[in-house]
Amino acid sequence: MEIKFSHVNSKYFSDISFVIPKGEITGIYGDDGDKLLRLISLDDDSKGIIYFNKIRKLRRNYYLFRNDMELVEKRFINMFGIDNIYEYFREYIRYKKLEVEDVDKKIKDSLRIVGLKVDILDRRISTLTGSEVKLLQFALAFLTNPKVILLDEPFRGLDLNVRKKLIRIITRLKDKFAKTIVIYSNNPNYLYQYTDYLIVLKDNKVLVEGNCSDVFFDSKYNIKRPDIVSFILLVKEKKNVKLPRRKSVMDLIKDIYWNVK
Amino acid sequence: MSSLVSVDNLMLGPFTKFSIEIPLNSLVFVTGSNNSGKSLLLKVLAGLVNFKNKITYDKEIIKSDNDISYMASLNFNYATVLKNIRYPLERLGYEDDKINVLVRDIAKDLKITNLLNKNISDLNEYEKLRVFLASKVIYNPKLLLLDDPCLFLSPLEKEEFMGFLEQLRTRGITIVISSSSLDEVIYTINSIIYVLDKGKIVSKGDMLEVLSDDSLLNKIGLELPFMVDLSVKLEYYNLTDKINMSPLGMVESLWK
Repeated sequence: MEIKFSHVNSKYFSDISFVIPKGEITGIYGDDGDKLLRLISLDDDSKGIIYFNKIRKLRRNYYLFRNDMELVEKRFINMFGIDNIYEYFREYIRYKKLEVEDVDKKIKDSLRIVGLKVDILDRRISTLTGSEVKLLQFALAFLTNPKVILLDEPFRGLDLNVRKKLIRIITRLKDKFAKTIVIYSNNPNYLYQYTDYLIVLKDNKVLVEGNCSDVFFDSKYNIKRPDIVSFILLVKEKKNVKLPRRKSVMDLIKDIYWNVK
Repeated sequence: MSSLVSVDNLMLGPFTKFSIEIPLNSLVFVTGSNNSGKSLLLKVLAGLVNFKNKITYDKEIIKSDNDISYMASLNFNYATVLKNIRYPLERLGYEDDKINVLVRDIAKDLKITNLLNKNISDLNEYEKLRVFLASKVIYNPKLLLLDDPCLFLSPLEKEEFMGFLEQLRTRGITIVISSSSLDEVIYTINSIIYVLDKGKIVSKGDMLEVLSDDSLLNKIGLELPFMVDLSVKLEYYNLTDKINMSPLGMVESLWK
């Protein structure tokens, strides 16, 4: 679904406008990007013109949109003070007022999507490792089958293998189930690798939005760029050699090899 | 080099017959894939896990629990920055004048002087981290254990934060950091790196030694910092002969 904010005011933002396109993974970059995620999730008391799929958000249909969204926090917050994982899932389903025929099946399906084993249900949240907690958060978010998934620093603390798995899941959700995915990260390398569309914030304003690669390669903006982009731009600036835009070091190496040999 | 703390033959969780030594006044990184035992090891070193007979501290330097400072999640006890930093000293019975001097000094060192009168809830992630660190080092512990402090920092913040830790080290604090990425490692000087995988040390040494083994690191799911990755791969194609951390230096050496 496409999300459009125009001239929206909230506690942190004044007169902010941007678009989250449908069918793409959108990245948010820059200070206070996590606050923008909260604005999109309608957590803030915001005023202005907001459209979800061309339907205007009004006070009376607010809950319709709220229920379509899940925000995965950067840190797990134990909302119910329940340590047992199975009990936590059940409470979450009650809390979200989900109508589920077979609760156990629903929970197991959700665990399977993120690749957690069923025996995790017998464990306690306080004994999980960092990456297990992160995957648990995702499993909880998928329970409600949201149309929009907002992710606050989702890759932090995850090693390459777990991160790749997560990206596969996110891409499948986007491609097969038409979910709208929004990722906030302060690491430009992750945004460049994993997102299609980028919104860059500066001083609580939208500095630029557009195709992620175009934005990062535009030398006009004074932002910290992905390492590989900075390197390609540096080669252009110092040696006037235009290397192709690449995302992986392996591809870049081949370009360099043909260029200097 | 004498060791400040050592673990001998630990059998716990992922660890079987696990031993490690932390030299006095060193900066040690414990890194590894998810579920490799990094966080658990830090808890063990902090004496928080009931396996004390497997751990030996240098009793000349670590005389009491107050000489060990362990920091994982940022749990603040008070609403204001100043109170959180002052509290550990008040608890230890320091006099007010002494507290004021120590607070001023640590605030200056960690660049948080302008935050002292703020509320914790108004701080960003990096500001919170520095305030919490201040409250953990103000009483001058001898051993500081940080569980993935850089998790939510941007690359620029990581670089500055590592500088702060180097500064703390010159005060005689031995520092052990766990980290889920190798990005911050490159900002340190003379650090020792341990790479864990499933409770075993699979690699150890200084930064360049450990980082040059890209196949091992990739196998266990650790990503090399960009310039290291680039250097190692260029080396393979005989386009460079050393790890070059400076992008400009690398460009100049490639297009001579």
